[in-house]
Amino acid sequence: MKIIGFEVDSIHCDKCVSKILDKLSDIEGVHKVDVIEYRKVVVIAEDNVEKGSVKEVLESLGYKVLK
Amino acid sequence: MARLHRKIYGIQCSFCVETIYKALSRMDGVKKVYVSMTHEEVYIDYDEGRVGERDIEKTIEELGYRFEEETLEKEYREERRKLIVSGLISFYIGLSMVFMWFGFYIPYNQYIVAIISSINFFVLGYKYLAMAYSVIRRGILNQHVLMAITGLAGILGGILGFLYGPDIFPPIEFFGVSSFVTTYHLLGGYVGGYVRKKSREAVERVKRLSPSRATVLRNGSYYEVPIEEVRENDLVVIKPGERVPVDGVIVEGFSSFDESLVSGEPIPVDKSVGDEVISGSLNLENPVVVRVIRGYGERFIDRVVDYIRLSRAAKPNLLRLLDKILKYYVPGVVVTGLLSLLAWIFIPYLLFGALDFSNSLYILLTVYVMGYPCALGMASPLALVMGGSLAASKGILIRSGDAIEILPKIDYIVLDKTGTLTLGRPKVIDYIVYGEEDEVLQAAACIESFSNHPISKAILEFVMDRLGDIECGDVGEVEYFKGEGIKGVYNGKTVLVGNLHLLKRYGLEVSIDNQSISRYSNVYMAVDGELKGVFQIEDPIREEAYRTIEKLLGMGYNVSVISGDDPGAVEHVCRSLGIESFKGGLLPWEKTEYISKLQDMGYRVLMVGDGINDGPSLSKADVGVAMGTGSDIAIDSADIVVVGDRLDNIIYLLEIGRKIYGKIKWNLTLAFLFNGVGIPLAAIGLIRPLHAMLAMVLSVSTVLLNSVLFGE
Repeated sequence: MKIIGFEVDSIHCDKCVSKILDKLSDIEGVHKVDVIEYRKVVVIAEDNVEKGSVKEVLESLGYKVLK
Repeated sequence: MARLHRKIYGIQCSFCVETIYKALSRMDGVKKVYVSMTHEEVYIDYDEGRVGERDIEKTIEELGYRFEEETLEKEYREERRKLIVSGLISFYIGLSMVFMWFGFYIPYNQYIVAIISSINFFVLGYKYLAMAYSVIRRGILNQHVLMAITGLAGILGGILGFLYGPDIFPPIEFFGVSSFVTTYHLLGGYVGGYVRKKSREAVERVKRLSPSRATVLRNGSYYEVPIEEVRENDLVVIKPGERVPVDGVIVEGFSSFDESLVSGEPIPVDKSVGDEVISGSLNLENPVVVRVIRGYGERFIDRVVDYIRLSRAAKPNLLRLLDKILKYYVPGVVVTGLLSLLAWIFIPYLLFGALDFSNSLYILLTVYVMGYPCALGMASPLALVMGGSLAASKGILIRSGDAIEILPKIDYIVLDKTGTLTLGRPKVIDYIVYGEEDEVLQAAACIESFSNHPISKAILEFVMDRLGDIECGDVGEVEYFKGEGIKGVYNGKTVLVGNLHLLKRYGLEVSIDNQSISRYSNVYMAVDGELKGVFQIEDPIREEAYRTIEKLLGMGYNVSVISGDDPGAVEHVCRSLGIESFKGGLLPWEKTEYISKLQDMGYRVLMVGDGINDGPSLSKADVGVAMGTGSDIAIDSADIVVVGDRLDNIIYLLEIGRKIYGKIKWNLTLAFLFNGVGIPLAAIGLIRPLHAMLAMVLSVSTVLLNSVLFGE
């Protein structure tokens, strides 16, 4: 199991947060997703989940990943 | 006695507020009228027996204001089209006059100008003429009346030119004036409207959009219903991450709730069956089912909103600088014109026995033609646009010119604690680790990652800030202990993370010297029965709060803190910041009372807050400032929003506010300057309508230039 973190540019409303939670949770091997203070996204996943593929999903939702 | 509360759109000029106020106050049966320009709303107490709701609405509509934003949006686009056409007409007239000076005459130009000017004034300017008519009937003189007087004087002068020859009444110049006046008036209205539209949109973008629907359990099935339809005793399901939509009692499940925006309590509260949840708080962990005890209209949130409206209503309307000037200026112009008419009739008659009506009429018309300070509609909005965009680049959103005019007069600053002086959520502020630090932290994070509790999240965030991504290896057999903590197996070792109760449960007794004040929650961590770490959790004071408070006190402001949180916690924060005046344990309406007491003592109060419970006091204060990460209710109640979520922006706000206000004063001076000089000159007969056109162009250009030169 591993914990991956991202810093994202401005997630603006609670709706956006739940969209992120939904989409990232759908990725195979992802156990849990958290959004902290509309800025940080924390993903808890199996070891075989690539950080890059989670990042791609985040970006496909229109968020700029800063870190 | 009934009360009417309406959003209204189209308040674009500072005079509008007074116009609406006066017109409604004069209606039979209307008791009290409150108009807010910032929030674009009216609030009216009236006697149902003597006047109907519809009559009041009709009066407002007649004055030229709308109740729906959509119509306004359409009108706004139409306004732009009108402005473009009107601008082209005036441009043509100006150009044809320049041609004339160079000896190039357009055939029949005076007829062309007569026709297009009349179209410009009567057709494109119709809306403002109608507004002028509707206010003048009520005995109010505002800038629309001024525009109508000047424009009509121009048209009349032009017609007289056709009748008596261009030597006394140059028709192109007179018609030209009425065209210019219309164009500038439309431009002023457009710029004002643009500023309001932009600030409205910016505020909408900051808002988090609170839930408008709730999931209700009826006859064994779930229904999503609009919040208005939720009734007492309904069962409502609240998922984690959702704001609690109603006041109710938990009948199934347990979770922790973030009430920081509701009560100012920064550390989340654990609740289970039988406990009450409050609308506006945030469900953090697990789904719960709640039996509604107060549905829509009676919820905590609704009570707060009622208080907000009341305190907003009771806020005295500020007589803006422009209004103060216009109050004397408009009648002054009218009287000066009439006096000079009389003087020019009687003085030559008494001296030479000659009556020259046409010349006297010419003087009257030139005074009126000179009377309209074209940049007046733009003076304040332009300063606000330029200064506002500078402020916006620092994350400050200024909603109204009103607030700017009061800012320099503020002498008392009242701050909320949770979320304003502090971050408003738990964070790890200190820690002790026994053993290999990275390994211990990693173990803590991997176990905590299973929990949704905000304190667990704080620890996880803290570790990730230090170590970045974490490879956990094998983690399992996770068990939760409500109100105590979490236990799990991390790569073969048993890990406990939680409070002293949890450690005790597993036979671990801990005594630590720095057992800090009871207020702080310490989280302990043990691996295989041995204490490995302690995390100190607190809602930390914002880093920038220290210098902000120091600076505010240094600038001579009185500073106080009011909070709904526990008085001890409030005192602790204030002592560390050097604030001597504070009060804790206050309900939303008690906060409002605190503000009004200060106001009664003669202070001008600026309030900074973020919570739902700050809403009423933000509206009550002379200037309300909301932190952008706060509740929608706070943002809606405030005059200014600090989007950047930095407290030291308050200092910048006070500085830029002064600058913008200075700019507004300068702009108004410039706007009135040329006419101020022009009117007496016109009265003694030294001026042609042409000069009025020049004055218009000059005043608008200088105001524009002055606004653009808004340096830092």
